[in-house]
Amino acid sequence: MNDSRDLCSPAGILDDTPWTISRVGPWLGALWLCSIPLRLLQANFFRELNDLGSRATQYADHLGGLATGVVLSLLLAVAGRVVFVRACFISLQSGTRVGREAIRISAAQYGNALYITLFVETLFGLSMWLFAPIPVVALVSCLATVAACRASRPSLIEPIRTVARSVANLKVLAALAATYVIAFLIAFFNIGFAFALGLWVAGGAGGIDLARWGHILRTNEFGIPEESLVRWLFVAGTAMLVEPFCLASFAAYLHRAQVRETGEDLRRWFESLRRRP
Amino acid sequence: MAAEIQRKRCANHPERYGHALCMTCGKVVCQECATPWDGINYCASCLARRRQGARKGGSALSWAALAATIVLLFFAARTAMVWGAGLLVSAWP
Repeated sequence: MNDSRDLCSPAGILDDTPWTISRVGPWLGALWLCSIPLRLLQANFFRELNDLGSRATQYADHLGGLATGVVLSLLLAVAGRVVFVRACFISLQSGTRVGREAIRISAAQYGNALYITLFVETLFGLSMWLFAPIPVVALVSCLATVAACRASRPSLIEPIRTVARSVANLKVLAALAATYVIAFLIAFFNIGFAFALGLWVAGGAGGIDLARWGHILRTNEFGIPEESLVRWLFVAGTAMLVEPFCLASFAAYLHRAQVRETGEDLRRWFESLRRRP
Repeated sequence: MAAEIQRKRCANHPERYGHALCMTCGKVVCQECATPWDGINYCASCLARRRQGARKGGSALSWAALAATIVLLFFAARTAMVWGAGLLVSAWP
């Protein structure tokens, strides 16, 4: 862990993130497995929206059915997130690899996380036509899930209060948000590049008809897939790649904020000073 | 602040000087009466109330409120998604 006295510095938090993720390996797999239905259904919803275009308003019932699937799949996705965040907190507190104890989440933690996720999802639905708030809402969703996991009792206010308290440190949150927006864009184009590379390598092997794949994976001049389903699947895949890092960063941020609030950092610092010869 | 507390007397032992402030009731307590929990000092009665609350895992009312809100938000999220999608395609054709 970083020994810097400025505990809530974005650099320190980002340093902690890969360190934390490396200790919660199996729970990262659980997070991905639980997120797959949600991401696929989201990709399908936006693909349909994309294909329907201006006719979408005439197909409200059809879109409503798809939206129901998306919201229902949150039940599983939130469980994966809560287990992963709990694993991150255990790892941050103990500094060791996390075992089966991560799965012992309380009903209150799950309920709070589900409530706050649905609340943020509603905000996402209401604001997505503006485009600009989408990254902010996505990051608040991660922060809210992490905050909800800290509560020991069912509460409608406590998770929101924790998020509001965290938002007070705007500079750190803005730095983390900017980092993850850039990370999202880089990951998106890297996924496209990985597929193009795979296609090129498979083409070299010979004996495989790649014309169909080449057509499906074709991109425009900006490197964005032209096929709407592929485009949205790339977005879903990127979200799955970035999400664990984002959750781990916010877990590290809240952990560090609590350590600073309670004076635990000072206790550890004095202990390390005492140990010095 | 610390010097101010040390000048005051413990709420349970008036013969002793204060050591900390209970973060729930605000009483000044001596070293023996102050118990740090999660890094925050509490007096014995407030700590007992807190621990009891934590063990109970929330009242039936808070569970009911949470469940009702989740059901409500389930429909709200679904409606907002369809409504937002409609606005998205009309605002950005």
